[in-house]
Amino acid sequence: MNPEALTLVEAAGKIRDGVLSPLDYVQSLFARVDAVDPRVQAWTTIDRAGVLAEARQMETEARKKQFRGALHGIPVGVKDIFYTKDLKTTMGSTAFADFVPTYDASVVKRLKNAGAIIMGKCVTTILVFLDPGPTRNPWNTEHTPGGSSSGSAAAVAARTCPVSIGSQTVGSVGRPGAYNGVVSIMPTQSRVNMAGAFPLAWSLDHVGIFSRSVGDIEVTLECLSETPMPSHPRRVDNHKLRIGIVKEFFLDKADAETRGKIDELAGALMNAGFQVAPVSLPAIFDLHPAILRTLVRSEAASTHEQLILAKPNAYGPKLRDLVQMGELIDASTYLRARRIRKHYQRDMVRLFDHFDVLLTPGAPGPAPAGMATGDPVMQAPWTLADFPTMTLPVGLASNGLPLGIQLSAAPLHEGLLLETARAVEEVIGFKDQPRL
Amino acid sequence: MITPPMNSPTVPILADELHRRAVEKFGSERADALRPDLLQLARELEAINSYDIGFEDEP
Repeated sequence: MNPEALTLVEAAGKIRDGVLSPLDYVQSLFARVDAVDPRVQAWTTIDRAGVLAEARQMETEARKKQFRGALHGIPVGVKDIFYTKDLKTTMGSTAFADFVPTYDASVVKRLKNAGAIIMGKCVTTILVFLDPGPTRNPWNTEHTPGGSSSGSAAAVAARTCPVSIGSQTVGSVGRPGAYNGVVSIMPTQSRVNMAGAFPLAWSLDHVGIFSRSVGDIEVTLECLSETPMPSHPRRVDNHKLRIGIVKEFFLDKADAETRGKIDELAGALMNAGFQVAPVSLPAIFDLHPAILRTLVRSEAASTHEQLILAKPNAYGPKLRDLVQMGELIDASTYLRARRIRKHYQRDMVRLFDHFDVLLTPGAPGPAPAGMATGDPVMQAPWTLADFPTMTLPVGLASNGLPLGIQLSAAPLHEGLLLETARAVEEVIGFKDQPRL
Repeated sequence: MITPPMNSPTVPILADELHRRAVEKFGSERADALRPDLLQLARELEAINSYDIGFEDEP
């Protein structure tokens, strides 16, 4: 058995069956970190002694058939913006280089309650924006892993942990998910509590999850969900599912290989019995960049107004520009943007009168070369709408880097989204992994 | 389709007003460096402010 290759569901099953020791599991993952992380740089803090002590305790309990929850003995990576009690949390910035929280973020508490072992903290971009951290793409270290959840996505892709936690304000989960060839979800904002996480723009900040299978995402999301997450009322029958392909805007922004993969997948889904048809976007869609950027700039300016004065050198140039632009926006314009967002959400949700799930590319193409974190254009409209959204790997581009697709459902319809994603995952049958 | 007034004649006026505020807040050197971004910001704020939103239409 090669523990690093196990999905979360496989590992959890083996721990329950007594076939996999939580201690052996984390030691195996530490060996993997030692082997690959000097190149990938996905992890920023790992308290090995603490993790090993926790794993020993989990092993003792597992031997007695005492399981804390669905994640008993599962090591999880956590983006370095979520507070972890007694474990350094830097927000990717020198401003917080020595910051050690005295309490856990809500998601960290929920992970621990479900039996997860917090394996360590994953690299974020500087203060959760576009200025990159050191993380490289495991598929090709000359390319970006995306951001801001760079380390969380790369750690899972590099098989140094089976699941990780990230966050998305515009495109910080879906984009790295697509670039790193892993499965990701950004649930509806109210589904998972962001309390105890460093904000960028609070009305848009969402918790996210990365893993290597839809099943792993489902188990983790059930542990994190603030409200019960019932399965979709019926087991999904492919013949009844209506998948809308959003060609305008999204396919226009995608490269030829990505468009080709989407067309290919549409054909395969129809052959598998799905109803697949093109979607027309409402008129207000054109306003989404203006609404989104007004909210992000204004809220980021409010978040950072004190810190940027106290620690100007801790800021990257992109975040400094964002904050300063936000300081120029007056309150009435910000409030108008919030009101127009409601109109946008009202008009966008009507797309689901005709479709169960919407299909778009996960990114315009494979991860770009260099360290700039790429374009969140494929995620921005859905984040603003607060539609739960998943990415799945769909194949490899000619340069060997992964390409991703994205599925979105109506707010709080994660059950339907997950069921559909599971069926789509089966149709795609993606098995490739990075060679590190 | 809603066409945001990207080329509205009021955009350059708003961009100048934003530049004036930027000079006040960050100094003229920084404000000048931000000028291309201020033009884009002005376009987007114009789009927000010209969207027809009525009290009776609040979702």
